[in-house]
Amino acid sequence: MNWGDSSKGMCDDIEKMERDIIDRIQVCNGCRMCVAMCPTFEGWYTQSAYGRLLAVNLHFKYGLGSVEELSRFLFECATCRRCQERCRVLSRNVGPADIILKARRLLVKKSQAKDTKGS
Amino acid sequence: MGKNKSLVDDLISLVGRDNLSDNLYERSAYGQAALEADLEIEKIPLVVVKPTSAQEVSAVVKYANEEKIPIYIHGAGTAFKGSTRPKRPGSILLTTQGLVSIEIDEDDMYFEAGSGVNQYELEKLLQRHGYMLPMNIGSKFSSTLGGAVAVNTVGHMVDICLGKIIDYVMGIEVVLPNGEIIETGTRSIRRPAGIDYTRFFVGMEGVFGIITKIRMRLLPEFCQAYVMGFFPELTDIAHAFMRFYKAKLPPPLYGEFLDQDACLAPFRIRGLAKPKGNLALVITIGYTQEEANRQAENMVKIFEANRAVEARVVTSHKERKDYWDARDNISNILQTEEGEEKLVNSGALECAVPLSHLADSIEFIRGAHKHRVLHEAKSFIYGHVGTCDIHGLWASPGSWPPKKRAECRREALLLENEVNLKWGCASGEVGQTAARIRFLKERYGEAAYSMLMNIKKAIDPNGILNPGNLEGAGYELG
Repeated sequence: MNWGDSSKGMCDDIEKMERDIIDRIQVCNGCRMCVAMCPTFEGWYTQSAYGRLLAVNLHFKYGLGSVEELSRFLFECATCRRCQERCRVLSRNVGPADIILKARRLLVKKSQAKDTKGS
Repeated sequence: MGKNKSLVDDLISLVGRDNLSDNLYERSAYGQAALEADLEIEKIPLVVVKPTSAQEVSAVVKYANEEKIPIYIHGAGTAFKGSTRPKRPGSILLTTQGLVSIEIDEDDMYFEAGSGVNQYELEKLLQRHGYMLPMNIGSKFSSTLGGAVAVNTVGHMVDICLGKIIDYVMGIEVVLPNGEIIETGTRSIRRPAGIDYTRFFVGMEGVFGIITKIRMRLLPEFCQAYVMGFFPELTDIAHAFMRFYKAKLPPPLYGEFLDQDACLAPFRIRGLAKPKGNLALVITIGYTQEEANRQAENMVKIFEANRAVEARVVTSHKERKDYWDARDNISNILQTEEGEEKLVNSGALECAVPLSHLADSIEFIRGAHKHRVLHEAKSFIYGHVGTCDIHGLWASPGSWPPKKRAECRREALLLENEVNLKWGCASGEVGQTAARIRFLKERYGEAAYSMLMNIKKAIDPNGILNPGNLEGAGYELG
């Protein structure tokens, strides 16, 4: 089996996903309308869509922060999509819930690609 | 690393583990200002603290003052021009969001609230008791009372209708840069004459102290009436307001306008028909509904006399909500349709002008200036025309290189400066100390600026509160 080709395709896919996510986050103007209404918010920004988007940005755009912590913040999202509707109606229609879900998939793909390379 | 650990341990002993975060993601999120896309990694605060009492704020400030560690004060961090963004490395970011007490004293006609109370929650609470909050800020769903008081902004409301926040603040509790807690003002509806310490802090954007509690006068709700109009030219709306005030009619509570392009996306989102022109929205008030309605009818007549293609009183609740939401949620204007390239905010200005130059200044901001990159961007003009406060927003495709976006942002700030200087005014809202230093020097002179810096030095000799803001750090316009 030619693992090389398949892992290259996966890498292209990962790079594109990463670029799409970063580009989309740049549309956010940090209005924080999605903070207090988030059902997982207990007082800290990373418990809201705003904080999760900035965490994704910090990790993928600037290469900072641990993947484990990012993963924890992203998978704590309840995926209720209230932030998605609020952002559409009150702000920029960034699509925070879509980005969080896509970033989750990206983390999984990256982990799989790492495993594939490792094998 | 060792130094940071000691800092964190020391602060935990002051505010408790639950009210502190040293997580990089958290620190980065708090260290970012609204509308500022690029992160300055070296300026991410070392730690975020969220004290729950004035005593805890005091303990943190005392500690920072002794150790000479900068503190950046943060309500919800929604100020558009970076006043809450750390300007120096190695800082503590102190958010007041843990200060959330509210007490209403109807007998003495005031309420007292912690500076971290959310404006929207406070507004709802006051409305349940038959009162109104004398401010309406675009970010109210997320921003704090303390943030608005620190900036002294009423947002969309017309200043000459009900006044500015300072007119309602009876007193405050504030933590000085040495950690002392002081109370200012009065418990009487009679405001102090002469020296009133409150004025050192309201509108000073946290450079002299950290406001922890605010006592504000209760304001009974007024009856309201709603007017809308569409005009062929944006300047027609300006002329209508000039005529309105010349007629010596009572100022409305709101007088808003949006250019036709700025209406498109907000209208589409709400399923409204395409705008028939540039939009004006007005809310008139009265002690009785008849009085509010009469003022609304007056406004309609003036709109009609100033080329309005449509002008009428709005009575349907849904229609009223849709139009006012279209204006209030101004970030909507950058939404694009499916398949179109996303627009990003690349520059913004906010300036107030004299009433007689309202129309001239709109023309100037729209295009009669020499800023090359602004001309390449897509512009939207909107704002609080009833209080002569104009906003400009320049949007660019996300594909613009960061350098070009930075130039666009710089040109917008230069234009804001030019408008304010040209007509001898000053911007009327939005926390923006750092962005305004060049303006302060040019408009009021070096002697006034030196006075400001000397007062800062006397009150905060170690320069620990919001350092860099009074030096214009990050807004060196060249």
